[in-house]
Amino acid sequence: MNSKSPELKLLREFLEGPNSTHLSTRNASLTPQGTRVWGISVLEDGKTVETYLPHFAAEAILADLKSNGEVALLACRASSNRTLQIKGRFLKSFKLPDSEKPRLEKYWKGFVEDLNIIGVPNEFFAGVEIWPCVAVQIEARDLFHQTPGPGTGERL
Amino acid sequence: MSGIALESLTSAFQGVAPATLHTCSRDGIPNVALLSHVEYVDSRHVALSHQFFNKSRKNISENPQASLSMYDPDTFREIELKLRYVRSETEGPLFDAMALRIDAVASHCGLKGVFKLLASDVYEVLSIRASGPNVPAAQAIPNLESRVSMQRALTALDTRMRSADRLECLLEATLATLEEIFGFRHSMILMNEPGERRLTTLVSRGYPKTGAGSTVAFGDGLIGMVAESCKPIRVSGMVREMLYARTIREESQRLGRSGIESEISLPGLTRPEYQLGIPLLAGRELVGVLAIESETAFRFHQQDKEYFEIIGSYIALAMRNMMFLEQETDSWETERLPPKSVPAKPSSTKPLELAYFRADECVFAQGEYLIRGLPAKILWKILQENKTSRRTEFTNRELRMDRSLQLPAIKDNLESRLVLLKKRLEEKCPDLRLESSGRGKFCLAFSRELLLTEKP
Repeated sequence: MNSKSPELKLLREFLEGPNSTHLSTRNASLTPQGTRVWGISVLEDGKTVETYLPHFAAEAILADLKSNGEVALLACRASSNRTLQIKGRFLKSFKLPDSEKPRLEKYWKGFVEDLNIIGVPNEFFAGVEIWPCVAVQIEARDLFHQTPGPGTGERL
Repeated sequence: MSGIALESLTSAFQGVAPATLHTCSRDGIPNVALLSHVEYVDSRHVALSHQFFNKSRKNISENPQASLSMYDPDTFREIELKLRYVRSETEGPLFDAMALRIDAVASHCGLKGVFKLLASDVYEVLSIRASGPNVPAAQAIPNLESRVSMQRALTALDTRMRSADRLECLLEATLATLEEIFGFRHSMILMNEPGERRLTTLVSRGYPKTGAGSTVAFGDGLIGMVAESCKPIRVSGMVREMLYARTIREESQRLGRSGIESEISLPGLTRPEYQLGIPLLAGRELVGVLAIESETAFRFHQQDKEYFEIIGSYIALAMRNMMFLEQETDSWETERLPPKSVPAKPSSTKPLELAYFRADECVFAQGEYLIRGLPAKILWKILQENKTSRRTEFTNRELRMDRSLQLPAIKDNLESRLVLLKKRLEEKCPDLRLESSGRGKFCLAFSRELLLTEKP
């Protein structure tokens, strides 16, 4: 693990909150692709994050991750627009066990409630199937301030 | 491209939830950024707003490939567009259309100049893919055309407008039809004040207070931007847009950037989800602005805006014609209307104290501001006439002939000023009323003794 990796423990409360989270990858031709993911967990080492891929997007995203490992992960709190972006490398993936389902459902409920604050109706995400999903672990290499405004993109 | 046509996704361009743009640098590092606006250009191109996403911009200059995720409020599906950057536009119709909407939100939040469009980046759409739920049509949010029969609605609007014999009736019939037939509960019509670069609210519907007499300067907020540009502006997800703009303001302040004005308050609903401003244009003349709001999320579609542009022109022509008609016929003997009764029970047994402040040209009632400017001068003139001669009946013509009122020689908007005066009295001073007694005529009615004071 890279000793210069950003320390994420201080940002755990935000990163693990009810954020709108998006993951971005690219293939060998540098064609990017992305998907919404279901939240973030900061692992105990403070340098690795885990995120949760929807099953319908997993195949294409994992193909990119396994071919080159480059990944960007964005977390945005809709009700405040506070946004952070993590860039790093793919470590591993695995099917999330059923015992983790309640935790993801709790995240999802909080996320939908946060969207209600900005006027997005419940119906909008009512049909989304969050289960099953695939856990993806990422070694964080860089962290960026991404809140909209003139300072967006600053390295933290 | 896939079987999904880009033009079938116009609802997705409303921005229910922010779109995300995925790019990749020359050295293979992906980047994801939230995006404020996505605009449909034609069947093969979209335009993305370039405001702050600097890393995305840098990546695109190195590698023109991108991927865009957005959401369709009709089907609730996530739409992924594979894109290739083509060009950036910093002027022209596309840039103007995107900038206008952004400027309206910026102005509303006091961020003119800070929160602005730098360029419209045009991308070719290489492929379209939809994923996620595909909600049955019955559950999707319908557009205006599917909610009401447009033919029936337009016929109803036409019938009601034709039956109006005075400007006030015309305006009220218009807003009533918007609610009863079209389902838009919150609306207002503001009149252009020629030469003043401001609009004055004449009538409104669906608000606790009418707001009659409130003014909006050209360029201020969505309504002021509509007046300045003479173009319709539609903003959906207004709460999100305002929040986005306020975040940028806070970030700008954190970084010590200047150029931030004080925030102006939004007329109407405190949490509108949708605002639509339509210029009321009679030819090239701006007669006023029709503003519609909704607390319902994402209810308007592109087609709705286009219908309302047509309706706006119709309203403008009808208003202009009605003003000409009232002006032309204000010397004729027309059918006399029976005066409406004043409230049987006055709100107080004490005299109603009215004060005219000559220097400021404004009238106060019971110590509270009532009205200013020409409507104030008109009110004071007829109150003085009543005091000296007990006259209660007046004509528009005699007001036009009265040089002390200093009405403009052309386009004096007298009828709209009388509507405004009447509305202000109804709201602030119900014991004193102006009632129409036929086209070009009105009478003064009051249920309390009047105590008039004139001040320098």
